[in-house]
Order: sequence, then C-alpha cells, then structure tokens
Amino acid sequence: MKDLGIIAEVVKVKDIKAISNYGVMFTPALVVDGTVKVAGKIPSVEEIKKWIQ
Amino acid sequence: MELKCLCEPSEILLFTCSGASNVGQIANQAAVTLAQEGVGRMFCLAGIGGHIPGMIESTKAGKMIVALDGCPVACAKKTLEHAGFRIDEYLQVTEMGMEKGHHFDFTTSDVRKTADYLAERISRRREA
Repeated sequence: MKDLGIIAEVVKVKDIKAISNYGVMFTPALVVDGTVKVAGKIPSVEEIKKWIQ
Repeated sequence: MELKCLCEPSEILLFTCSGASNVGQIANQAAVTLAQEGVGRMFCLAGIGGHIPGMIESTKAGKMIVALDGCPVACAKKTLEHAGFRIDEYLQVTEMGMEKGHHFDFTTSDVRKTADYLAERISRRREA
C-alpha cells in the first residue's frame, strides 16, 4: 500500500464464524472490499498490488 | 497414467448433487458419511454454482476434487466443470445399480455401499 500510495484499513480476521460467512474453507485468505481474492495460500506482493490498485 | 495425490483428507473436497431424488439423496448422504468418517471434506456445490468467491478460491486450494452425482444428469460434474475445475474422482449413484426415482426412499445400505465404493477409489488415488 505504501508503494502504491494507497490508504486503506487492514484487519486481521480470526473469528471462524466471520471467516466462514465469506465461504472461506481454507486459510489464510485475503478479502479486498468484501470480495475474497484468495484462500488457502499466501499471495505474492504483485498479486496483492493488482487487487488493491 | 492415473496421477497419485499426496493429500490429507482435509484437502480432498467432496461435492455432491443437491438430491431431489432417491439417488440424489443417496449421493448426499454418502458424501456426509465420507466427511464424518474423515475420508474428505464436504464442500458446497451451490457455492460453486453461485460463483461465491470464497468457495471458488477455497476450491482452488484443494488437492483432490471428488464429485458425486445421483444420476446421469450430472449436475455436480457440470457445475464444477462450468466453473473451470477438473474433477479427479467421479461417481454416479445409478452406476452402482440403483434406479432413479422421484421419491426419497432409500436404505442405509444404499448409502454405505456408495460411500465404501467411493472411499476405495479415493484411497487408491492417494499416495500411500
């Protein structure tokens, strides 16, 4: 976010009910603006940049 | 050559027909049985059909996709393929010699037979 000059709120969700409400069955997962972008793996920095810019 | 899967039961994803017939119900109950017995993990086919991002992304993280349909209409198979997934193991309950009917009469023995047959096929596919 620093590289892209984006100001955003980042929240680590640990509540299993909140996680399952997204339909996520594997962790870790990343949700951007309410949409699950990845589940069950750690995305690359480049992938994350693509999703948030 | 059949590829072997070096996977844990939690990485074996079970998708089943929604079950609007006796064979559909057998399929669903067989998948529940396999999940309860720790053979694999039951996933939501409707979530794939509904393009729910969390379900789609979670399915991509699985190592073995197992689809179980009640009949040759093959809704589970087609739903998964439509979403771009390759099915590793597949079974239609009617292939087990059970006849489709638009009723919900079936026995625990029908479910057991289906679950055991699929468990054996999954086991053969897994790396020992």
